[in-house]
Amino acid sequence: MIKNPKHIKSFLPGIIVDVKTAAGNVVKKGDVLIIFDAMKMHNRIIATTDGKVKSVNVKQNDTVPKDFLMVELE
Amino acid sequence: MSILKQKIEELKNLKAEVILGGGEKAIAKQKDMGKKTARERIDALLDKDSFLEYDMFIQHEAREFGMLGKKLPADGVVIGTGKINGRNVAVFAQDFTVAGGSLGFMHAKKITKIMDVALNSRIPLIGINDSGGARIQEGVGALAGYGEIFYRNTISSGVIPQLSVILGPCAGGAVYSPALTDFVFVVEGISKMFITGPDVIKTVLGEEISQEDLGGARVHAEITGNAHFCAANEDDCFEQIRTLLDYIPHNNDKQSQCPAPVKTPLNKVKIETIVPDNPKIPYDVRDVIKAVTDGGDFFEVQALFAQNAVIGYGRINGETVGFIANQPDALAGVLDCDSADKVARFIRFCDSFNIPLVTFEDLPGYLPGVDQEHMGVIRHGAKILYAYSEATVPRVTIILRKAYGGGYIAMNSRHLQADFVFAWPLAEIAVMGAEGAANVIFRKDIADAEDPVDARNKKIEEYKDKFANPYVAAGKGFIDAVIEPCETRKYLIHALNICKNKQVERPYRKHGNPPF
Repeated sequence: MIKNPKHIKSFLPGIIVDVKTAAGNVVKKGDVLIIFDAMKMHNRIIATTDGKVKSVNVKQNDTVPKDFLMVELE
Repeated sequence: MSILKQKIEELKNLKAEVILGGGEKAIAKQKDMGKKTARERIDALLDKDSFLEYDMFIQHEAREFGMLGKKLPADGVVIGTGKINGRNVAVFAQDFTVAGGSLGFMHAKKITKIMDVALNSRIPLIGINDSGGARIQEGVGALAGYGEIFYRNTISSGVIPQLSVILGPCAGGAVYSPALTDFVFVVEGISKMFITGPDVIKTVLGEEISQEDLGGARVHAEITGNAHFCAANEDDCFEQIRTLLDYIPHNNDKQSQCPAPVKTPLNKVKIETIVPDNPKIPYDVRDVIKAVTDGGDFFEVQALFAQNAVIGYGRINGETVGFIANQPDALAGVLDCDSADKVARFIRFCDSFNIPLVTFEDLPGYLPGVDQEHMGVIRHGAKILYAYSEATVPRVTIILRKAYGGGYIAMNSRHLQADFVFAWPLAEIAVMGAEGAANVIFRKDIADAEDPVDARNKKIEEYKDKFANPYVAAGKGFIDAVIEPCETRKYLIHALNICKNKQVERPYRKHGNPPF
């Protein structure tokens, strides 16, 4: 399936280490949005497109399941 | 005017007629789509004035459905030979302005003729695809043509590099020639590849999808992995082809590689500053590759597909090397179905054409999950083991940080007969990560402890001290040397030079049976 670049989802279950953005922020392709701990790594979850953040659905230390919609862009 | 002069004049006129292809109107339409004509493409790709065309006067033999007497200049495909960066290549380019570049029997005959020239002369074959598909009026004759092409693609595989350039539609049976070749090039907005198009999908399944979303350039570069290189326009695509052909040998004869002059490596970035000490912090492994190659050059293959593994070409002391690396910056660098396919096929290309392999390893293991298991990660993952084990080219591994479990074995370990395995002092070579291992080994101790969290942390530290280092593996001789990061290029040059004339004896077999 073609991924929707405006829907930033978790690729595995994991823990939110840090949230680097907030609703209303304007982000550029390549900006780090979330630091996500999974597979022994603090993964940098980046924006794959330019946009404005519609909602951030996680906070620091949250445990999220796989495919959880962490950030949504407008 | 002498008879010869008259005849030459006649020849010139006939040629001009053929070169006009489908006529000015069709050419204008081609240009409107942002596309060059077949002959313009060849001129743009090859060295200036190096191309000679064959079979300009080929005529189709179709009689039915109003085809009798219908003229199709060059039967819709241009074939010939020329040079790229001074080295010979064979080319065919389908001409969309002539009957939509449709493939008839004689059209296919021309393609197979140039394929035979390429194989017999041991020069690369470049196929530029821009075709509406089989010429339906010719029926089974067209199908025969495809089959003849597929057969030659297969027989040439591993003997000469075969490049497919998708510069227009390439649908139905036509997709399988590119799929059998070594490298597929696509251009955004121009390339369209699928087995059954949107119309059929709508009729049969009721699903609506555009050509671009079904099989456009980005789809094949990012999702399917069918494409190896994606460019913004045709000129950039041709530049990628020329660069690739500079890196790779032009046939599988050991002598054919022409080394480039040695460039000094870029020392802008100190290699020891690239990889963070904390194994949980990601980085871009391509920076490590660029820190060891001549001039800091790295030509990445399939850059947008399965980004958790990085593959591509660079030079070390002038000689081309195939690099394979786990990418901690994407999915933590795990192996999965797609990255396994990507790495395995790259290894087999390099081995076929005598390109030494250098592997940079830093991975947590295989990606867990029901979808991966059900997609057959066992079968796909096995391809990496097979490809490395089978390869007889020099193989050197550098363990940067994490080397755990099945991932450690798969990434060109000593046990798969790597020639040399080196590790950085940060390397952690163990059957699994410290946290997982402590949970298993000390399950009872942790459960019975007064403070299980504290006990668990202590056991994790204990395991880390004992096993999360390169010295256990080095103690068994599985690592040849633990090296400082700044010594990496020096060790690579030395190791590749030592096994330059490597000889490997294999038992007789017709061929192996890799887990395709």
